[in-house]
Amino acid sequence: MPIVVLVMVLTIVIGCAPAAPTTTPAKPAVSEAQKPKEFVLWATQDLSGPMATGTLPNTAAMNDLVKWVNDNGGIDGVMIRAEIIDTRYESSLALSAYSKIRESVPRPAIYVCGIGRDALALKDRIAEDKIPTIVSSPITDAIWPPSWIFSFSPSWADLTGGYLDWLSNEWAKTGQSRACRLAIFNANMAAAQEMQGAEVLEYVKTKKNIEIVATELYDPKSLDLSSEMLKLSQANPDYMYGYYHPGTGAAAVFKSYSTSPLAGKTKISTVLWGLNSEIAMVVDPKMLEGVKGPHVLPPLLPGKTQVSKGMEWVANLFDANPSNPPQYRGGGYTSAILVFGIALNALEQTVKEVGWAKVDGEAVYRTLENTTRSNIHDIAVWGHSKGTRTSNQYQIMEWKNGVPMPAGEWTTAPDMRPAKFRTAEYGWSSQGWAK
Amino acid sequence: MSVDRPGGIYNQNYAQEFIMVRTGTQWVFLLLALVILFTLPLYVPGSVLNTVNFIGITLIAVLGLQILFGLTGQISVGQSAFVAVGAYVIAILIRELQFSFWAALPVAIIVTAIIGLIAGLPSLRVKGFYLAMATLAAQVIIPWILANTWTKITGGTTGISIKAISIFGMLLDSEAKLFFLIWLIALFGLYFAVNLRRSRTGRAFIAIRDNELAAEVMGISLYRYKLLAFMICSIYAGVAGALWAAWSRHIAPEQFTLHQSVLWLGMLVVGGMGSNAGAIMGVIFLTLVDDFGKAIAGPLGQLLGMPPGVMAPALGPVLFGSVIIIFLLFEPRGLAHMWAVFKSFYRHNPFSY
Repeated sequence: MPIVVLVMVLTIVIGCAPAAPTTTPAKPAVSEAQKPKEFVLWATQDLSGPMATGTLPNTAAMNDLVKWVNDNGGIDGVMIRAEIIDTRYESSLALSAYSKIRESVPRPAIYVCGIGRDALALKDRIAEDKIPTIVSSPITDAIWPPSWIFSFSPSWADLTGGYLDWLSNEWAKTGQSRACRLAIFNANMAAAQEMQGAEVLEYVKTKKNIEIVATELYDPKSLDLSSEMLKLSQANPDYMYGYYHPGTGAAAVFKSYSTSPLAGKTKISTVLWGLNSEIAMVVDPKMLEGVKGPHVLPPLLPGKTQVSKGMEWVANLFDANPSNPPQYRGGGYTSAILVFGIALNALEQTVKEVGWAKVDGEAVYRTLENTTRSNIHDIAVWGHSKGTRTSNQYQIMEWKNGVPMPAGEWTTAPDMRPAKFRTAEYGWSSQGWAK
Repeated sequence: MSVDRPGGIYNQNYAQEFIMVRTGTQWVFLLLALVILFTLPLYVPGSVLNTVNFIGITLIAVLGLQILFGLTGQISVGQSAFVAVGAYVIAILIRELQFSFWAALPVAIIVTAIIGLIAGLPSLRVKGFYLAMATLAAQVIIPWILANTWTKITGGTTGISIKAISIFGMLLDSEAKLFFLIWLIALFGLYFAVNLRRSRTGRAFIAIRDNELAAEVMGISLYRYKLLAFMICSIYAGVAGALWAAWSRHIAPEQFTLHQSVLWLGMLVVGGMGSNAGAIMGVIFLTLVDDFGKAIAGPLGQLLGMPPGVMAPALGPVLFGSVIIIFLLFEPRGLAHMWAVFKSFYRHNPFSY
């Protein structure tokens, strides 16, 4: 036994020798004129878990965008290679993937994290490793306090505030003297909790014509939500709003809604991914007719005609790759173009400012931190205010004739940040977002 | 499991009877294994160390389950929930009350043990399937409480993040540094489990497993030993939870699922119930099977003409279920028994006995 202990102690001492690649690898000395052979753009995403229906197009979009960038000379002559790791919506896999990414040589200057929950879990490590991270839909705790995580979408709470603004106006148009009865029905996930959190409830009080009459959380794995719908129907809501996660969530919600007492009496609305055209893969488009909600992506419509030049470019990019399955043509594809577009734009800007030899996480972070306005392939304009880390623009969309279409103008979402960050240090003013 | 020695070799005193490592060859192999294990960080990348650390934490949880189910015969499908308790207690103490890891660890262990004790009370009245249902209740209730109540403290479904812990002034902010903490504790837990099995308490557990009535008639207090088994299992779970929180640095209720509890039971079945070596083999084997499934899912899906992303979520459960069925049909005593048969063959070769 003493020998065993002695051997263990000796091997621990040897093992603690600083030979493992845990510190930042020294960058090879390069001259100003020397560029890397290629730049690896790392990403993680749930490609085979509960979110897969909406995220599978991400890989196609990432590959198409990277190919387009490389066909146009890369970034300052350096070709881009994209690597996406499947995390299956499992925390341990996300950690494992991040360990692999952070130890790649050279250390990544930017990283795209497809799952907001994973970005939240990695927030401290990302800051310690100084790897700026782009995430598509941020959980409030991931971007507050501001750190090394950036996003292109307002937080879930902000979007809910935007929805409440829209609903208040819509209800005022009806001329009814009573308040609109709103039920909030969410998947029991991190994003959903903030959609019915303290900031949202505080904001509702400022809307004199909205009253929350019921809140309910459903199990994301559940395929039948009839009992939840029955409970909600007892509150007799005029509107129902929530996050119905892509794939089984949306299918379960809409199917259960259509057979519940709420059908025909309560207008159902949703947010973000529930307004992507891929939802029509799992939900009968007839059930989606008239569903409205806040979104941050222009729609990718079938055919050549699109809502903007930027979306025509996206459509052409999609169609140029014959191996893209037709069911990938939708919001998941567009969102990945935007997210990876932001990352590549930031990288390009950093290279212009400091040159490839000095590109690292800190340099890209400075670029992102100072980005107030950046045009992403004419699809959308991305930027954020002082002290924040994400955009504040959204628009209301509506399912019409089987496709989601814009039903309003781009609008500024209310700032629903946690109360302790409503200070001048974080760019807060009494009017909300700092300019 | 009886010790099988070649004919003519007998123990001549009690020291030989109780010794764990008998021969010089066994010492060499043990020391070699320890050296290889503890020098892994020198030559293995961080992403692989991440998996090894995950195996270490899983091993601690499964060892606890081995003591409860393998030794005492009390089934539990709530081990993941007890791990969650340990993880949350230590995370809350570190984050909210600025406890150090070593100060918070005993508290996490005690709290988990108490909850395990309460969850083990049904074992005094029911057994088998009904006990499984009772522990299933714990598996459902505990994550629900963590997700939906006292959310200001637990973080609700978002969970809690903690900073890297430090031990004796050294910040454990890398997989390599956490490796030593995790595996030292895992080896200590293994040593305790091996000794427990050979002790009076371990023999009482085995007696209860084999025949409760006979054990009671012999004077073994079922009440005391069953609850003790649940408590020890929960202590292991508490330790595993504490290490999980230190390793992942972000815990949320959705990390501690029924699927995970069932997976750990499957590791026991595959490894061999009632055997500590079986627990180790089961954990490593099923982890490798899972990794294998992930590696072949893409190419296999393409080969079968499936759209991307369809094969991967299906292949994992298929492989897991198939492995369980194959072992139950052809080797119900698990990998540990296969290893014992091999050792016996090796030792007795060319003789039969």
